[in-house]
Amino acid sequence: MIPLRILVTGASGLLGAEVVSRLAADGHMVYALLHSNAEIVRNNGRRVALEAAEDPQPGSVACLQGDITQPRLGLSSRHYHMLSGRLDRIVHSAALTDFGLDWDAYELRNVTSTRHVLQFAGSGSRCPVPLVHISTAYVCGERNGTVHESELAAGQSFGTYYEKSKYEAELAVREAAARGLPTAVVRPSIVVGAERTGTIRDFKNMYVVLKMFTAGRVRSVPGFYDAVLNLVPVDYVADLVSQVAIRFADAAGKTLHAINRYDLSLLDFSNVLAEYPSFHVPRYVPPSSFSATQLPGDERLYYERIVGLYESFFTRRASFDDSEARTFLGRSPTVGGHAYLRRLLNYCLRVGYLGAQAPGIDEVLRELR
Amino acid sequence: MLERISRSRGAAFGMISAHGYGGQTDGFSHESMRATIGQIIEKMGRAGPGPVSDETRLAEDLGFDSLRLIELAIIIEKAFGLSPLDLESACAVRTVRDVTDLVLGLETEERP
Repeated sequence: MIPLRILVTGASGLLGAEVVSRLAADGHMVYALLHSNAEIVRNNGRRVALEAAEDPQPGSVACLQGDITQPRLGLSSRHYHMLSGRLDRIVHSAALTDFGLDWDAYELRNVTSTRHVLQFAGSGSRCPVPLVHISTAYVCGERNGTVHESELAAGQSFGTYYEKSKYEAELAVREAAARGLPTAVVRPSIVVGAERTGTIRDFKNMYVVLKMFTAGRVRSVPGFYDAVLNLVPVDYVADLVSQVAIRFADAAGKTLHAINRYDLSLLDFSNVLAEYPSFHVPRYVPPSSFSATQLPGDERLYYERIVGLYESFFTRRASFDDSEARTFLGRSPTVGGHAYLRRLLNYCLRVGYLGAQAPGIDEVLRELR
Repeated sequence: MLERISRSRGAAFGMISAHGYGGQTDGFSHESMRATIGQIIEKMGRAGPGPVSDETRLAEDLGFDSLRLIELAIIIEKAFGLSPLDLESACAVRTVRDVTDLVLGLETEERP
């Protein structure tokens, strides 16, 4: 095996850290592009060893400071020239994944930044650097039915600025590919805890909603019991992304859905949550008859400021085809359905993320008076 | 859909300010604001940490996660009658001092 020189953006992120560690473990030379973080922590909490030298040895990781919102990825002139013409792959994993921010933030950090990465990949003195772009399965927006990996623009509407920005970023990747840049796109669905343990480093997005529901902060939401969510283990996604980077020739020009074969309906969620005596279970009401203004004070606040950001996910019925990904990797996630959801919940309970009673907004404010 | 979310959020923020503890920053000195922020954080942190100091770390010492940071932002808005805090800034704070600096900065900006 010839070690590859691979630049990974978003190297300290949940997925980026796992990809970095896999590439290094496989003997490659990894340049981890970091913005504000000085360390890379894996999903299991272990720190990734960083090499002091700027140029990594095979099987190691060197850290470079950068900022992909800037042209030339915000690299120093020395680092820019050091990388130019030397890289074999770029994995673009950096993205703004939080919900509820203004469009400008998503445009800058997901669309403009991707354009900067594309320019960087195409500007090599030897030839363009093959790019693995991490997108999201939810570039399908609010489409229902089966979504195939080759599909992108289908006249869909979007429920969040996040997915709209990732859609636009993917369009930019396709434009660059049409101009000759070798690309492969990986689209994870909702990235959650590890396959075998349910371990998760950051409790974000779906975990926040789960906490709102199980703690009884929000008890009713507009949605359908047959709406479906797709939860994919972070380690499966990292396996797929790393392999796409390593075996790029087999994935070039393709889009791969990194998803779970087992969708979970909101009824599945309710049934599993109901097995836990300490959990509240949300009630889904038809969107046409839901009004947040009718919710009691605290619940309205939690809904409007937090859970409402995820509103469109409670009505979606998209199902993702992953034929290309399964053919490429030779497997799908080994866990799914109720058993996997229980595993995720059990982990949250074990580390105290769920189940602990903490004073809510009104309670804290009452005590201040 | 996006426009609907944007509109409903805007309306919600307006309502919260109008029904919150609006205008109370006028009656707060910076010192009393610091003390109130400390009280809020103590009440929200996991039991038993004792009094917080400027250097107390929200995540490592008090067990705050991203959701707790959003709740902290909402409580502070209501307690001091501030405009809604930008979620990204609210979730970027690391220590009690960061929170105080953020709030005092906003309070100064918003003072008529």
